[in-house]
Amino acid sequence: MSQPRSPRPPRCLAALALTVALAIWLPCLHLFFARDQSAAFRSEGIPPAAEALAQRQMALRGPDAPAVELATMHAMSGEWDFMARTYLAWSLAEMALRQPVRSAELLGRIDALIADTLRIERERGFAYFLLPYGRARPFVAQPARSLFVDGEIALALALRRLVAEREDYKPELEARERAIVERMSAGPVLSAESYPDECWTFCNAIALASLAVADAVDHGDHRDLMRRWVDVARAKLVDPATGLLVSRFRMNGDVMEGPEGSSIWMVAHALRVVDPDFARDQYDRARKQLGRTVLGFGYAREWSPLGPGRDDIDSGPTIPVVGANAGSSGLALVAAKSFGDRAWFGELVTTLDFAAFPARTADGPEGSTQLRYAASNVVGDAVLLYSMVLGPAWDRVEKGR
Amino acid sequence: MRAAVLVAGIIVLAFGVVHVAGLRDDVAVLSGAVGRPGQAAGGVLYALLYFVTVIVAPVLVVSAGLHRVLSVLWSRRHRQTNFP
Repeated sequence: MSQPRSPRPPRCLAALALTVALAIWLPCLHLFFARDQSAAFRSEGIPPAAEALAQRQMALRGPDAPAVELATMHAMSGEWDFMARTYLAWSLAEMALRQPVRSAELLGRIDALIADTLRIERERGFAYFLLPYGRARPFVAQPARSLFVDGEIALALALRRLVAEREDYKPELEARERAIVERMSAGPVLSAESYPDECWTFCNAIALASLAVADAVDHGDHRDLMRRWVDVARAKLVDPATGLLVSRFRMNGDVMEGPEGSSIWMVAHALRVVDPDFARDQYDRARKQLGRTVLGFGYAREWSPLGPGRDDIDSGPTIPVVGANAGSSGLALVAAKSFGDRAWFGELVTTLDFAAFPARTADGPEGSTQLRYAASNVVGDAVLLYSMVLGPAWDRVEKGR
Repeated sequence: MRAAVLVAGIIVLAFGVVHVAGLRDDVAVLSGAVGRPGQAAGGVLYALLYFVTVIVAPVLVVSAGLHRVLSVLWSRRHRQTNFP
């Protein structure tokens, strides 16, 4: 006689197993993507991921590189084309400071980038690097100039000269400095236009940082403008709800857009060499309102819960519910690194390796590794590279004071 | 819970297919960069299968294993209760 079969286990066992599996797996997932990031915080040497990113960026601009990717990017956004150049130039300067033995090679790359960018600006005008609405109406200050273009080129020139002097860049940098100082000083809120009657805190902060680096190189002194700008910014450009600097405003100071992640992180980093206390305050506020870590994965929101807005081409897409934003998270790496926020920087890189689809190939010189993030683009990768190597330049400027 | 393991296997297999097919490059759509026609669909499909593979598939496998262990424990207890 056969024994009676046991009845089937109740369904609640399946639900219990699923719940426990979720509770085990989700908190462990980040461990498969987390890497030691201590190399990024040293002032010497280049982290392997940064080296691989740089190899890919340099290969894209090599003589044999197909121009399709860069041309496509320019067709999508002149700003992306321009910032891919400037972030790469700034990164190469930081790399040269980290690894002086390679400075000749890296300076050659920076010079090629600067020469090509200046040539395009000369031949096609600065508006080539703007979004189409930059040509839609006249700039308020005439003759027209964009602080977006002037500030970032000035910073590239100044960083190049911080690594090693190049005499013929001195007049070019001084001309940009004069333009920046004149335009910013003339504005009612000590800010200059990036687009017609449109000032960006991002661009004004970078322009001020370029003056700080230029001062370190040429022993100049723009501290008066810096002090006055910070005073005006505290009084008129800080959003009362969040305490964060707004993103863009009219020449007269009327706010067009409140604080946003894709601006404030870079602003805080740039202001470190302008007013370290104000910069730290902005970083701490942004970190609290926009920075998040869930299950070991770091990310940044584009908008503070206290001041919501809407996504644009700068911010990129936002993941609903959690509010993780690609542009803000990428630039958050710059700020986290700049302010020594090691834990969050590591968590942001963990998310990058989890969700940005790193793609490594052995296409570099002598089989060296090239890295790009498939979910990113050329300018995004240039920003990520900058976040991994920044440090020595700002340290030099701060020590030179 | 064999079905859970089967579903996990199908997910991993599907991801392997789109990976070998080279759709990883298409996830550039997530940054707003759209090149050739069909890239958006390919990129979204790849990203979806990737996240399902690394998040859902392991949970299904672990839960199947746990369910097996819990079922054995429950059956033993049930037998002890009914057949002393």
